[in-house]
Amino acid sequence: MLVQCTGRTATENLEKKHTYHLDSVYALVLPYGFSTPEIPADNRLTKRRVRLGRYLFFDPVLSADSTVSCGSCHLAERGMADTVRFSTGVNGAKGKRNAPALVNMAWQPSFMRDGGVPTLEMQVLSPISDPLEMAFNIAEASERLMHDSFYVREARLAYGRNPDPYVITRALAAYQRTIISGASDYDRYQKNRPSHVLSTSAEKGYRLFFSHKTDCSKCHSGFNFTDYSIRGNGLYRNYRDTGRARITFRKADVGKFRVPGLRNVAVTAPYMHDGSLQTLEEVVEHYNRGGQNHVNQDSLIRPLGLNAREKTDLVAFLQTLTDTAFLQKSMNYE
Amino acid sequence: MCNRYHSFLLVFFLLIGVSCEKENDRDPENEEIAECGNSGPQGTLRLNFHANWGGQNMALNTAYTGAGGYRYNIEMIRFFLSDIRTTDSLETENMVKDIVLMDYNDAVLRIDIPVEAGNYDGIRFAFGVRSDWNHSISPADVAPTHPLGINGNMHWDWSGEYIFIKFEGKADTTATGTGLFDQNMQLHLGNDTLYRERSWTGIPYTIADNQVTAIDFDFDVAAFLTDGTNHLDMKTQNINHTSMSQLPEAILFMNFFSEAFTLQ
Repeated sequence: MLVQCTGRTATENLEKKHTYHLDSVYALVLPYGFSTPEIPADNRLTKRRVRLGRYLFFDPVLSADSTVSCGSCHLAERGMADTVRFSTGVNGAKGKRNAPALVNMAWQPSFMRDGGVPTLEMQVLSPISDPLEMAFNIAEASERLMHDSFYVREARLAYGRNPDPYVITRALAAYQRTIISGASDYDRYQKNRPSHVLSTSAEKGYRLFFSHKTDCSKCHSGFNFTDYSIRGNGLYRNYRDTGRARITFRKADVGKFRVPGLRNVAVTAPYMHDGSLQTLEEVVEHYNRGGQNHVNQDSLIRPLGLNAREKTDLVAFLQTLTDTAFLQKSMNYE
Repeated sequence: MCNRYHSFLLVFFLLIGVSCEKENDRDPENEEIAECGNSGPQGTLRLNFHANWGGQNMALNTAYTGAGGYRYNIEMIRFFLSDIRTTDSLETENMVKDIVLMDYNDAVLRIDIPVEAGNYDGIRFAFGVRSDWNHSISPADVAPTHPLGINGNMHWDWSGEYIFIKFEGKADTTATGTGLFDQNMQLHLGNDTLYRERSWTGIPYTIADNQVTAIDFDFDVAAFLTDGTNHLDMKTQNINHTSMSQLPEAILFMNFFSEAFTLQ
């Protein structure tokens, strides 16, 4: 289990419907307040599948020169995000977007910063083939794995077939669906509001976050602090990266990106699609300023008129979203 | 939820299509879903596509003069032909093949499709990948040799979409046409808006049991870059990966490309 057992399991119903042995079912433990995620019928979670995916995630075997793994840029101690603006891929290549935090992916309806990829299984292909990341071909990666008796055995046990592209994409997706974080001070506060969990400043920030004064929670809503929408936050007046428009070709989508979740946000700096903001203070200041007035900027982004105390309170609240137990447990999986 | 369900069914049936190929020891490149349930008398519909360059014989890696007076050396023409349907005099359509990856390396591209015996009146197909397939199928979901599989190398993993056509080569864009072929051409085009359908009716043909019936098409590669009035300038529009700013040229190319196919 990745998180403390505070709720029901998502597999309770699945166990009745599917024929695989009960022992092999991976019991996805959901934190308080989390809904049951929809797991694809062709990739039900089992312990072997998740384990295989975890090995693949932290193994550089999927990159062209075997130097870069998924875990190279999605650091467990950083909430599965990177510490730098643009991650380093094979041969020192630099990416063009900031590596997102891979947390609570089981609920995410679309992937990539622009939301262009519809499934987690499909998303897995992108970093492997991206010349700025792993610079490899999943078919060649599969051939490489075929020479590794461990992966051949585990793939056959998990999926009944060799470690082919189907298995690689399924296993990596299965593992990522188990990366769940929801045991922060905020969650403890939500559960029964003990007075000692949040500091006075954080509690004020909590109220601000969910208030009409900031409207933060209009987009950063729900247990994962995102409504998964694609919006323009007015980071620039002119965008170098066209964002969602890269997928849709619509001018109205220039500068729009998927609203990120905020779980563990205090440890996932730098921020924004291009990692251009280094601190939470800079992020809060950006929103307080009301963005740069880009033509596609969301109407919710407007000058907030926060004073210094209020900005500090907001940051204090965002810091309560850190799930320390998750960070420690995730590191143990590497 | 409904879309996900449909996507799952689609992938399921594609995989079933692959399993049929294995069971029957057939060539996966020339199989499709529709065959699996076909049990009546059937023959073969053979579609031949004859390449030419402005009416001349055409070969890869050979210099030809074309649009803008430039010289061209074509190295790759790879594209999806999809949703191939027969039509009859009652305008009933039957999809006889879901998708084929056409990779030009010979004078004639040929597809053999098992079709139910009977009388037909027309044929239609499309260039590209149908939107519902384009956004729901991953190369990892199907066999590597499947047209949509890994081996085709026709997928943009960053957007989860297929490249409809790869047109590559080199051009000599010097004014005199005597320079080196040092202008790379790399047109990788794909997007739902670039899907193009063509149909031909009033061409009666009969598919007889265990017989081969051929329909021959010509495609003029020189016409991929021009319609005689407008043309794509390979001096400045030689690289296209269907970005937002490149979409107008991509649309122009796909219009030229689809119209370059004619019935013999």
